[in-house]
Amino acid sequence: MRKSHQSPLHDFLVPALVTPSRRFLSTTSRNNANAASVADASAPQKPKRKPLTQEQRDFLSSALRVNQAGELAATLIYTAQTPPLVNAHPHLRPLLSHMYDQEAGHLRTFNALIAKHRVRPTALYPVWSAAATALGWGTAVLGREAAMACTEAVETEIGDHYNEQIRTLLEMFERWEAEGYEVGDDLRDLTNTLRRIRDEELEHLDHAVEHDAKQARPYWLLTGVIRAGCRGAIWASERV
Amino acid sequence: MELLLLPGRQVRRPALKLCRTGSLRVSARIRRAYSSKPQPDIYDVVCVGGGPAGLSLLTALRANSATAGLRVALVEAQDLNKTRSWTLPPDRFSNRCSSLTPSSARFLDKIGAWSHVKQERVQPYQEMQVWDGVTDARIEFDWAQGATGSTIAYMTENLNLTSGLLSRLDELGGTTIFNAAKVENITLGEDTEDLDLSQWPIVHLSGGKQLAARLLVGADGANSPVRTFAEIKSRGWDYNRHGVVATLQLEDHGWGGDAMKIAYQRFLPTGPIAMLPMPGKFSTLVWSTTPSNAVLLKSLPAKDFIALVNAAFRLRTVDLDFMHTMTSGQDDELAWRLQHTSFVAEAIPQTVVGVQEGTIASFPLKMRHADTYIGERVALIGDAAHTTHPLAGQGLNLGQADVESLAKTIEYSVLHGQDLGTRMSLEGYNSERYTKNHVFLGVVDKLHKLYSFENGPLVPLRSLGLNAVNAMRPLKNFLMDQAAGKGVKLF
Amino acid sequence: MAPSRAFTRLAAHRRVLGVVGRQYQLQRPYYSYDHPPPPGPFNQTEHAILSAAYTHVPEHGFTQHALSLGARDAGYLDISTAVLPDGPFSLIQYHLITKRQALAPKSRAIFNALDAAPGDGAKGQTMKIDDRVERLAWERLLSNADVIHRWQQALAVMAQPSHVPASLRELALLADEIYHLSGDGAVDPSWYTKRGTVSTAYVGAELFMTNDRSPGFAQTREFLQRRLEESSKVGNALGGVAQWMEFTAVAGVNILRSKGMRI
Repeated sequence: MRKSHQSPLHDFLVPALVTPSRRFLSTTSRNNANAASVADASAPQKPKRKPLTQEQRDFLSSALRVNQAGELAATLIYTAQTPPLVNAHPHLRPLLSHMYDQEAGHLRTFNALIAKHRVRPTALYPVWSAAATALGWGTAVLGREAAMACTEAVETEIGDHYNEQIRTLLEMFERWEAEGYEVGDDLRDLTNTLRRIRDEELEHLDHAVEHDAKQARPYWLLTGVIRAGCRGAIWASERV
Repeated sequence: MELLLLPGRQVRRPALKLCRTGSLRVSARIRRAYSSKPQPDIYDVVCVGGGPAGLSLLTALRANSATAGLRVALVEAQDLNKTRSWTLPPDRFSNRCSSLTPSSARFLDKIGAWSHVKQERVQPYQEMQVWDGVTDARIEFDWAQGATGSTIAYMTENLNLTSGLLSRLDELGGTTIFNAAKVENITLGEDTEDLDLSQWPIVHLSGGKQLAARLLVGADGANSPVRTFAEIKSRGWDYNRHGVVATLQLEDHGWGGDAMKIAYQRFLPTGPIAMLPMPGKFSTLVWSTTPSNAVLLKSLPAKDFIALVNAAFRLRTVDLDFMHTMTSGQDDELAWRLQHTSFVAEAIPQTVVGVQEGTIASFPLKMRHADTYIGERVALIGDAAHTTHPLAGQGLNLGQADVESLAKTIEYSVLHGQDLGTRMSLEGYNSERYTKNHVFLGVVDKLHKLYSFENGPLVPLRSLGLNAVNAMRPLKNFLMDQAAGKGVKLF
Repeated sequence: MAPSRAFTRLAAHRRVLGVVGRQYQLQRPYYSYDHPPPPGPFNQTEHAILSAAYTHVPEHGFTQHALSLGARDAGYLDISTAVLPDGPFSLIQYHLITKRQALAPKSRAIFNALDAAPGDGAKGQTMKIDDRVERLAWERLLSNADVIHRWQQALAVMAQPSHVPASLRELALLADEIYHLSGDGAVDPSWYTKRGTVSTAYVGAELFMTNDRSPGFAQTREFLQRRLEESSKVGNALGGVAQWMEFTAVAGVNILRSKGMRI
């Protein structure tokens, strides 16, 4: 169902699915307006880049935090799934190992970004660790189909989530550019990183579907519960 | 094809015939495939690592008529010819020694290797003296009066053992040995028209040689590449201690003479120090201590090193600590301090008078245990599966027990016509060894922790326990039987 | 500039800052390297008054009087101190913030000097994180030296209920700055324990320092080192226990698996 999302068109296709949670970030804010007016008065030359507003900074820090929490959970899910799954189906080892390696790479990326931009990591780190391990292990013990359904559900949520972040960033860029400002390299890189990671996550989703995720019984219950759990976790990580 | 990837369980045919046909088919296939494109050589068992564990396994397989028909290969990074031609004068001993329990010796004898080990360089010992360096509480593992002195263990140089095993393996023949061969990489094979090797490990050697293994055995040590390939995690911790080894010369043949040799171990708060008897006046030292002390010990001139070793068996721990802060002059310091320390000479090893040149070395101590010993077409043995603190001197014996169990498991698969590499065939090995090794690693780890306290409530308690065990002859005999690998099997 | 106009504009600005300050309590917002930083905590006038007033602190303490003297020095009327509704606490905040911000250039100087020092290689770079943290905390304590005889009074002001959140927040920012400058990149739960540890050690040492008469505050440094060492010992012991528990739990699962259980 989501195979079509592999194209770069994602950024523009997905908003329709997630409109209720759309988030607009104005590029000006109260304290920033003050600074801008001072700048206008004192220097006729317009600065090339705008300072980030408090709202934008909050968005970026909660985005990095929730992404770190998500990738942590993903690596732990695969770690917990691997032994029972590989024991029963040795041929899945290369696939699981490939997906784990990618997730571990994502986690390293976000850990580095969090440290660099001095964002507070999620305080619920131990909670996510325990929950992700339990989820991975539990679905793997249920069998290959359940484990793959778990991957499918998690990657669907994560893919949506990255899309939303990418869209918010692109909107931010558009407004800046409309006002004649330029966008910092860090933020451009962040957007590209998010795109790359999103594509890899959706690739995992496809792998899961290829490996009979839909055969899990009862599929709707399993994926429904896991997706709801993911949304709850994202909500909490953005805040705490 | 059907013979290479045996469906397993249902196949019931005489084992020998099965293996012979298997090999024939394999060689035919290799010949056929050779012309087209580089194909891996196919083996039933490829063992990476030619240490005591790897060599014992191959010897055990070759020595058993049921498994002698398997195509086996050994890959070793070091030059085995050096091990083959290993020789030392009778009054020189290598510093890396192990204490082989009677059950390990029995196994080596069963596979025909024990007689290839130079027996004049092997020293059995019959008694153990273990005591607490802080409280002097002591346990004497000696046999009851009148009982015939039975051997607790055999002190053997590791090189003596490996060269004996290699000599036996050469005698048996039939093993393809890739000597001084570096493993470049291990991958899963490919699914070609002829052959589906997609679940088979392929060992790539430097120089382009490729070996496909029905069963790949990792006997390749603590940093096992085979374990890495199989993505089996190994967990544990570093002790932040180094084991200092040396070959020592004592003033005489020991308090019991050559007929009754004694092993000594004193638990110091920095770690245990052990002196284990070698033939004649010689002994081997295993001293686990802090990394900085190890550096000091290695830097000292011989006479001061000897003084520190003698001090470590005699002085109070505070005095010993002080001597470790000195950069020189330990020799004179000890002479002075011994006048003010009282001890029973017969309860501790005889005075060390010499250390063989170039034998003082050290290595870091750690505890590691792999999550499992088996994977699809992979088995781990010896240090690749587990690493332990040397305080019980059992690292090599655990490896020998692994080998015995794995060889038995392989024999069973061959006799029952199963594919010996599948996880299901290997499960017997993992289930027999994993818990035993885990319990052993745990006990050694707790002992190390227990004796690292210099004061506190555990100190009198551990002494009380040691004295109590010492007073109970039946319990002590039971423990000695366990150490010697006889008597009731606990696990 | 007419004082009245400055006053209204500053007061409005101050209100905005108050709102932002409250939001700051929980968030540690994204730090951008290539977009200009948001406006600082003090505007020009506030800065002028506070920096002038700060020179009077050694003599007059963190008081309204020092603020009035500062306003006069900066060419404002006494009344203009009203733009600082927190009064003496603003002066304390000025001290905390400027000293915290001064830590970054100092840290570069310290570790570069260590790198350049003769001996075995780049000492500043090879220094352990714990040692760097201790060095930086000590450097920050030293910058209290000029006002240390007034610091007990300042602590009393900071402990007033209305000022506690802002004081704690400033302490958290200091701990974060110290760990950031030490080069520690860990973003696991130790992020919290590390910052908590250095905060408590720093507060204890600061209190100790107010009564320290030893030359060069040598006893304060010993105190700081002792406290940091104690907490790192406790941390190691707890870490060891956690490691053992994890090992044992995993081993339990491994044993069951080795016995053929499909888990």
